[in-house]
Amino acid sequence: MLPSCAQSGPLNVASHVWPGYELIFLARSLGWLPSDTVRLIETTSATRSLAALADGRVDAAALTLDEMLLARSQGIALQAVLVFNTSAGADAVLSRPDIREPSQLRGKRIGAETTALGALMLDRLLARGGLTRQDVQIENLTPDAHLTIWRTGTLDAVVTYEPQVSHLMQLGAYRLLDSRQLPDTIFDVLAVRSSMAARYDNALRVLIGAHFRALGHLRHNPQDAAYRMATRLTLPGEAALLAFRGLHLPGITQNRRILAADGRLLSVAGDLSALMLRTGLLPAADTLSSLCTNAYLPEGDGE
Amino acid sequence: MMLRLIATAALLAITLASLPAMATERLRLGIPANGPVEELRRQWQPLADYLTRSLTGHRLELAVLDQEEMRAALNSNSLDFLLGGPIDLIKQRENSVMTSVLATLVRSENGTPVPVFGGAIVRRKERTDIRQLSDLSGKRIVATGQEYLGSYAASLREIKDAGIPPESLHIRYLGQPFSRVVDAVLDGEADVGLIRTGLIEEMERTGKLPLDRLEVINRQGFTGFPFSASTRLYPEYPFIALTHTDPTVVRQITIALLSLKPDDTAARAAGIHGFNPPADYLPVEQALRELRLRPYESAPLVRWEDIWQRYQNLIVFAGLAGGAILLLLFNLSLRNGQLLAARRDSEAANRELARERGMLKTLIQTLPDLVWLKDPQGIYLTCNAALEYFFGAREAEIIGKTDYDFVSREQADFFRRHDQEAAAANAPKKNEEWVTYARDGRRVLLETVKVPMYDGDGKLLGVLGVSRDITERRRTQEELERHRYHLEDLIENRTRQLEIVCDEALAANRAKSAFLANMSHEIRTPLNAITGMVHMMRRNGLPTEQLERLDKIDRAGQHLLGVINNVLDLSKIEAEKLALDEIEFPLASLFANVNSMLSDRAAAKGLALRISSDLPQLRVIGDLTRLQQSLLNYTANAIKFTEAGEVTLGCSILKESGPELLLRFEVSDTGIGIEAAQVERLFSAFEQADTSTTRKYGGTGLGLAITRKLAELMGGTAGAESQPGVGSQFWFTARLHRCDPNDDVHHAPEVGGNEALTQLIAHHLGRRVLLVEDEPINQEIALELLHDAGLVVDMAENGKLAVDRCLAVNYALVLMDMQMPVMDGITATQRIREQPALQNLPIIAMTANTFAEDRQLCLTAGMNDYLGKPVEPELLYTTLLRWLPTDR
Repeated sequence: MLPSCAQSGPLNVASHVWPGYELIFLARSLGWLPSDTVRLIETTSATRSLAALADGRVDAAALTLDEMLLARSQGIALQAVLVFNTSAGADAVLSRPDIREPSQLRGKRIGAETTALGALMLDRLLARGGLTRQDVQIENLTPDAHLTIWRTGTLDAVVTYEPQVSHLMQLGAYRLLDSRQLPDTIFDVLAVRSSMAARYDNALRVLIGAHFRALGHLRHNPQDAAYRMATRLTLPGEAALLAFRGLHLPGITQNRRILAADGRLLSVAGDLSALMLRTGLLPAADTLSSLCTNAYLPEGDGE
Repeated sequence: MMLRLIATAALLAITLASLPAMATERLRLGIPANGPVEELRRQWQPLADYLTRSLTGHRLELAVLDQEEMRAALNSNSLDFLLGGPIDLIKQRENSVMTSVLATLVRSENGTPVPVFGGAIVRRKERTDIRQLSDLSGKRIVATGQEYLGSYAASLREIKDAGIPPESLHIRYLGQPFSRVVDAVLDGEADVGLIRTGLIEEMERTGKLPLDRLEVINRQGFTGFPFSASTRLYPEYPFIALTHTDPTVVRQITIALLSLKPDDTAARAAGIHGFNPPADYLPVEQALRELRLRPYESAPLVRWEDIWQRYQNLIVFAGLAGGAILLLLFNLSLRNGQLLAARRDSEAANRELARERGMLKTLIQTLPDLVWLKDPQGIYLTCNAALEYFFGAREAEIIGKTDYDFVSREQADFFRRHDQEAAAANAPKKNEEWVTYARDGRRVLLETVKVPMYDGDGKLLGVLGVSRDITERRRTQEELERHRYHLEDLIENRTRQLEIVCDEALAANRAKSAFLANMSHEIRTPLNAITGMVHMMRRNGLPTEQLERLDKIDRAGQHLLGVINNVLDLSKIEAEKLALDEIEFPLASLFANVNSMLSDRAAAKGLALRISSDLPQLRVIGDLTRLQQSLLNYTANAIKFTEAGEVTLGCSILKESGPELLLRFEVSDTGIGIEAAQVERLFSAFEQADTSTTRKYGGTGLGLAITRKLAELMGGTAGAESQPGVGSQFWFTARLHRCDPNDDVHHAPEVGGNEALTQLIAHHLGRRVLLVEDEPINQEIALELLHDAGLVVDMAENGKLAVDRCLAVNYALVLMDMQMPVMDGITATQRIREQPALQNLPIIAMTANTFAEDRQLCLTAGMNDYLGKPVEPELLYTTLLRWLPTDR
């Protein structure tokens, strides 16, 4: 094996708390990620992760596909090397129990991250209720603030995701809309700075391999995995597994298919780019060049 | 004594009370004796009772069994349910196929559900030398036994995964109770103890262990798990149903288990939260396999699949290498074979070459042409027999010599020059040369083709020449040339003569046409005036006497018109200027028209005019006018020459081929008849049967001639049969096309005259039309007719004025005379049609020229229709009705 050009230090990966990203943290806690190869930098939100990418503190980040497109449009050339999960219910818009229909949100206050996914969910929500942005009050939020703000009672609805969804529903919130209504739109990926991907070839393979190993562990030792992940997911014990409801975690073979040159990620990215362009989230449609690669996935099918 | 009686009675009562229960079926639930039996019974009996209550006709009996008893009970199938450790499940599953886990136990710790457990590796707090798993090597380790998951296998697995082979450890097994291990570590008898999670916490709670004395190493970071752990977590105890248990009972038990609430007595007594749906115990199985613990003590069979899995790459590599070697060997032997084959082929090729060479030599020798090859210096390299003959020497004598040795100097120079040209040209060169044959002195013309020849390297070998004797050929050619020139002269003369004649003929023809046209116009115009005037005069109301006189003038005029028409027709036919119309019409209408035109005349003479009842019901394409003319002619004659009786008109199909029909039209009468000898003369022009008939019956004698000519024009002929005093049958045949409804042909107008007038007044009253006519009389006539129809009429006296008016006023229709001064009708129409707005303006020609070509001319110029002059009022009205636009 040829030695790669001198890797200056470990690959720094930014990630906020999200069930799909938890597997790499599980891998870390099980000792499968040597810290001189890969360093996981915990952030509080996708916004912070994007900021870390922008000022070069990290060379990779765990992001949703639309967040990745957003970064690319801002000049950060990113390439997706792993699909953590697709969302089928884990992203949701929750409302006060008396609001049961999106149309009832007229004149109400909605909390959302106005960058990336939040805007998309908001857009869908408004469309369903036959409303425009002028018909509602948008409060700009970061996800770490969702729970606290909700408790203050100043919001009527919030665009959020697990584990906050589970928390808020325990507080009586109503699931007004979720990502099951946006099938195959929300991909969570590991995005690497394209120019650095080759330099961190080994680190990427280790990180991605660890993710799948942790996935296998979760499958066969769900309780053990649950208790380990419970800390970061802030859900007690076995309840941590509940956070994975509404997520589909593709294995190696499926990952290989999705990330292929003719795979789903590219086609979804194209549609997503168009949607985001339409809703003003992107200044121009993404060229989709070097958007993704399955070159860093492990051989075989894992088991 | 009394007391004893009461006691016995009570005992009896109790026994009796439990009798009904004993009559039901007994099920046994086994639990391992992992502690004092009585205490375990106290804890778990309530659960057994709870489960019993959920069953009907069954009773669940609790059996607390140690290892030996457990094994015996399982072997003898005397247990129905088992609530034991996960390892018991795995063992049981290995032995019987259908062990099923109904539920997984969930213990309770301070109200927190705990569905998992693991192992804890403990040391005395002071033993800081033991921190990681790797520190366990060489230490004294104690455990309760090997058959426990939490208390043994879990920890051992972590140790093995850390890289320490379990065989290298010194482990002592202390047996039940579990607390023995803790005590041993506390006492210092052992360095490390393997216990299950929760034991320490329980012992500390019950005061059996002083707090803070023991430390758990390799602590795992679990959140929500209330105990310290050194290993990964595994699902809690499974509640197992053994194979033979009744499925209905199993279902009831399962429901009861999963419905158990934490605050239920049974749950509280056992210290459990309840039961969860069954967990996945695969990790337990995997641990046992890894550790080669019972039931997986024997080494796993190595299967081919395993070897393949492990040494995949090596095997593939070796296979490829071997394959490569084989391939090379194969290739080598192939090459060898090829070499041998090549040698054989080359020998065969040589033999073939020699053969071909022989054949070639023979070919060249037998050619009658002279064939030779000279080198660049002009020295002969080879030649054939023909050249030998020419030079009068043998090949052997020729080779090595040049032309200078055989022919005259000039000739040799000539040859040499051409050889050099050929060599330089790099392409075949042809030349002709007169030579003298040496042998017989004959002079011969040779045509020689010289080609430069190159060897394989591209060097010039020499010049190849092939000469052909063309003396004879040349002679023949020259003679032909002479003939040709002579012939051309002749042809040119003739052509010139013919041109002259042709011109004269054309000129004559044109003169004739012009004459005819003029005559026609000159004669018809005044006639038009006469008949027109008569018509008008008649309408204005006159005394009877005048009316009668007018009638006579009218008849005379009509007659004159008829004569003129006939004359013109005949001369037209003679001049072959008559072109037939192609109109689609129903055959029946032809007869109907004739009938309507002549019925009055017949009635006046008291004759019956009939149409045969078996007329073919056809639509045909043909010249309706001419056919009508012929039929009219016959019918009029029949009426004329019949005093009493009837005249019958008929038609039959003589021949039919596809759409083409040969029809026979016949008019038979009961008239005076004709002598047979005279019938034929009738049909020639200017002959009458005899002059006496002329005087009695009138007529010009032209009609029948015309009829025959017309019939002949139509591909048929005309004739008659007659019996004097009985009657005559006059007939003619004509070829007509059966009408295909899809044919786009000019349709005959179908509205009759007077009806047309009525409709004109009804639909077009007050519409403005333009009349273009230079003759004042014709103007007057036309104006009257148009006013009668309720139309508003503007006048223009020539074509130019007509164009100006059309541009100025929106007319519904234009009636255009043809021959006018300043600008004639054709030109005027063309000018009008140049205007885009006037493309659809109906323009009707009024023409004295009734030649078909003139009609065609009108249509080509852009006119929509034509009316013959003199204008027939009915036809005018029908035509107007046809062309006046219906929308306003």
